[in-house]
Amino acid sequence: MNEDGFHFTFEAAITLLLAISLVAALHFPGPENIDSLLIKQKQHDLLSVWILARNFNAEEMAGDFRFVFPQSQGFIEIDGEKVFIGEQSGEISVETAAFVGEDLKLREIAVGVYR
Amino acid sequence: MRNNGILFSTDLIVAFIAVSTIALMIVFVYSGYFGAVSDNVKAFSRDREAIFFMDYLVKTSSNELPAIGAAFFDTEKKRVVGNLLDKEALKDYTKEIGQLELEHWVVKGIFLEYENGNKDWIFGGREEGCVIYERFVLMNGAVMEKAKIGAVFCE
Repeated sequence: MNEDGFHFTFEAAITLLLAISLVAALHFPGPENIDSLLIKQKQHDLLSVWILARNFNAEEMAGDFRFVFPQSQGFIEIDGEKVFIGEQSGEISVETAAFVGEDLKLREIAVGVYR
Repeated sequence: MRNNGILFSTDLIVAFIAVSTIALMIVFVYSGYFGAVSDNVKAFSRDREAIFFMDYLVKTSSNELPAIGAAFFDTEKKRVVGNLLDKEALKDYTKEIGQLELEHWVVKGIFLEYENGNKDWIFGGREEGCVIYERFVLMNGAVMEKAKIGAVFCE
């Protein structure tokens, strides 16, 4: 009987599969960016300035938010009361700060930015 | 009878080609991989330098060169107040500066931008093809003003 053709052993098939899977699994690292750090720094700036200025007028704080993040949406929270700025969707970065108010009670403010 | 010669095996050829391909791919990919990593590290170092220059500017105080540390020094409390900038010191001591040379960047200008839209250049000005990093601060002066301080970073 004449049997022409290739005969693969189990090991050869495994080797081929390994080679193909290795090529398929290769990927290059994407460029890293530190945008999230920039956003966090600016959130901290807002919280620091608000605490330094000791003026917790929600409208003025919303204006500050728009000034610092003109392209972004988010919210400001003062003692549990939230002021929403723009559409609330996406991945959010929230930073909070606590301080002692004039009534000597611990108060908390937060700022959230959607990325 | 003695049979000398070369034994041909399809399996051996397939394994040889596969192993050679894998070895070549590893060499090509890792040279590319390390090249990409190296580019990322360079870009990250550049960004980090600019970001931390801005952080130093708003968090530290330098009497000799306020353009690298303009935070207000509270003499009563004997401490530097972060995000509260000494406007007079920043203006008086830096107006003569043409530019600041860092390792990766040249800072060609520092400005203050107020919420009413006014822009006040401390030194230098806007340049084509440069990057601007900004921080939000409170300016200490006769009147406390909220502002963005920005720097123009050119390569």
